[in-house]
Amino acid sequence: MRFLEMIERRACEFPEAVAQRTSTGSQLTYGELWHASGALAQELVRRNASRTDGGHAPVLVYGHKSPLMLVGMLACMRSGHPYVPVDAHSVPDERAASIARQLGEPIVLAAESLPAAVAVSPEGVLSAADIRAVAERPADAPNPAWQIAGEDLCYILFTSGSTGAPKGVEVTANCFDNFCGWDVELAGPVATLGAVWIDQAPFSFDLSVFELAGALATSGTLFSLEHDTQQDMEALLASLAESGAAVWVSTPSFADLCLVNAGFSQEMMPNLRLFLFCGETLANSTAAHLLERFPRARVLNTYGPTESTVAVTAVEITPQLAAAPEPLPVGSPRPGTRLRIVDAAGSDAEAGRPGEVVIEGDTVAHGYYGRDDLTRAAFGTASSAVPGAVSPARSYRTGDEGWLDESGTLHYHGRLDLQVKLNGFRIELGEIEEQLRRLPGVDAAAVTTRERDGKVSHLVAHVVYSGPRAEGESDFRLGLALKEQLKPVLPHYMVPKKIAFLNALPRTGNGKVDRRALKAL
Amino acid sequence: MDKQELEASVLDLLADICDDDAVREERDVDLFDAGLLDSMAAIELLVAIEDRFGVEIAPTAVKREEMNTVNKIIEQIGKRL
Repeated sequence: MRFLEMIERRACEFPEAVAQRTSTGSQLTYGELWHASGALAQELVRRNASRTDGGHAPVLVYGHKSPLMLVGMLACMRSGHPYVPVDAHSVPDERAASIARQLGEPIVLAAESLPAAVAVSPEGVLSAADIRAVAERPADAPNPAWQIAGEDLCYILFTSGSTGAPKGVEVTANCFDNFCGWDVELAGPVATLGAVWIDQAPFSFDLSVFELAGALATSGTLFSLEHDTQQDMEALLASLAESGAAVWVSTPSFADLCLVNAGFSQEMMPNLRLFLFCGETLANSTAAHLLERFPRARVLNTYGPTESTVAVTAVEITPQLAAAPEPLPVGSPRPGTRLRIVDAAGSDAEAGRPGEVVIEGDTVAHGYYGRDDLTRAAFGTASSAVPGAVSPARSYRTGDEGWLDESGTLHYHGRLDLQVKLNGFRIELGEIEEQLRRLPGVDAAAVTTRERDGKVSHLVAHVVYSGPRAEGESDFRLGLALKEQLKPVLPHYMVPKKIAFLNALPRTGNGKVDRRALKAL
Repeated sequence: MDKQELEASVLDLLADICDDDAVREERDVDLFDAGLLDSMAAIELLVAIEDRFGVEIAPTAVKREEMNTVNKIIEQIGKRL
């Protein structure tokens, strides 16, 4: 795997170079990363050997932004195991348990202590102390032939699924390497001197692969913003100021949060040269403010679902584009990717007309883990050879609506289904509705969005409830109680802000829930 | 602006941001625990407070536990008017 070769080279030539620094002061050099991941890879191979099925078990890597997470993920790549990153702060316990169940008998690298709800056999779990002990062992380098390569799975990333359980997107070594090559190209000269990359998104959100692949493939340094730092504005600004970062990767929402502070500017981050955005719509105003405050930085907007490996289109946002009344484009495809716009019947739409975005190319994932039904419905082989593709090209129906202009630049319209983006997080409303319906007393539930300034601002659940109520309990109090019950099973961003109670859900003529009527309530 | 006017005005603002009129009555509920405010909505609130009352509260100047209920928010604005 080329990505691993780049890291190995750096580790051999400059072992003292820093691969990762965290906002609370932890540090990992390339030498340490390479040795520790090698020793841990040996251990993973040893543990896997006792398995009867002979396959490479997925490895659930549980934790946050610590160096142990990085060591764990790399150890998986070097031992032929797909890794499944689960962020300890943004993935609630029950959801982590659901992921573990779907994986069967995963090996677990618990960089942070594993919630009791995650029921895996204890012999399959390496605690943080175990990982450290293994990492410090003198060990021979693992056999390079063990490394993942080609169509082997590199990682499985679980995203919101409409039927109530998250689904795992299978990204292959080819996908990862192909994305990584483009990522490095996008950063261009900014990344050639071992630049510092801001690492904000949880590792269970594939936006983080932007900086993970980009920084480590270019001998750069990840500057990881830990959970507590991100919760405290003062600490966050101080961390950003001392990061020395040249490349910024985040959702637009996170940049908006920082922009509220007048001090967030080029003076505060003098080395910053590049903003890379993905994960949700980039507002014109956000781009305009950043270009104004950071006169030496460029702003790139990108687009792509997890199923096509992080992002497949990019465009530089100039001050002219940002000032224009039209929404910002999301860009033209990377080499090795072709975009098609199709109508409801799956035929190519007329040039310039909106339709469903289909992505074809060499970064389209293998499918959904253990879900052939879902895989068949969304994935296929490319309709014809894709120019620039260097490994097998697959196709993926995104469920996104968009259109291509004459220059081949994609403009994003929205979703064709009930998936929404809230502060960059991908949410299937159906998953929330399913969890609501499982609560005692809830007979029916529908979730809608509220918008502010053209963006989803929050979620509202509409619930038909026939369960008991404490005497005099208001709708507000009952809503709070239901929200408390959702917290263990849904990430915080999927718990609706408001729960409204109805006697019945409004229906359209054909019996479907009338979401338009609900939104108008 | 007297205390009653301030209260009424802050309540309007919070009912809008939390999308729930019930916060007018439930003034000691922890709005973060209740899922009615998150860091994005809190920033939105600070911006709105500045627009409406001319009171600037920097996001770094207040801790979450000083502005996590309706009553505390009214108190923080009142102190600065």
